[in-house]
Amino acid sequence: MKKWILLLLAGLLLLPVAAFSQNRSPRQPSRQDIIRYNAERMAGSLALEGKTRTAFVSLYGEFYSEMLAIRSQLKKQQSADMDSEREVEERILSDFATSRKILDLRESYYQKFRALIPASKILEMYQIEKQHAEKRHDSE
Amino acid sequence: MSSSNNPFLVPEDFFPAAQKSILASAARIRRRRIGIATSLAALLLIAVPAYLSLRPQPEPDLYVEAADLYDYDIVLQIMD
Repeated sequence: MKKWILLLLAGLLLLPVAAFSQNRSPRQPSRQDIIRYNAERMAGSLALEGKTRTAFVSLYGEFYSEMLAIRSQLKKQQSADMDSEREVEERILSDFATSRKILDLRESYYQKFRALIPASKILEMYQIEKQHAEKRHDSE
Repeated sequence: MSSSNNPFLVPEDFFPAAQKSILASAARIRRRRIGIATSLAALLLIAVPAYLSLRPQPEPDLYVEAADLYDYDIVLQIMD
């Protein structure tokens, strides 16, 4: 009898542990999860609904994936040495190139976003992005 | 003089009976303590993981990474 009670107790104790270990996986979201989460948040901030929202979330996710690809290239540039005159010049030119890439990306995606939402919403989107970026930038 | 007539004399069966009663009482107290300790341990084992899984998690933020691009992002720089 005592043995059965102990077994039952052990089983009951293992249940929450198993449930907890299942809950741990969403704690480390993948890059795609984070992109999707932020795209959903932006769609919510812009009060988009229905098919427009679904299309926007997908497009915004695509746009941000490309932005993050530029960021990873930028990180490599920033870690390069700037000891010689040649290295300084390379850094300045690569900074121009980064700015240009971002501008080109924004311009090409502007047309895609424009097919989904009005220009005023795109402006609002930029303003929200700026607010977030400034907040993070200042806190660094 | 038998013990039943003398109130100052302890009955012959007093000690075994008292010992039995004391042992039974001690076993009851021990069982109760084990029960309480097991319940508390079970409660802790259920409550702690439940608390950890249910407490609000920090929101994943893409803009933490994207903030690095802000200095280079002309469109955002010119926004009011």
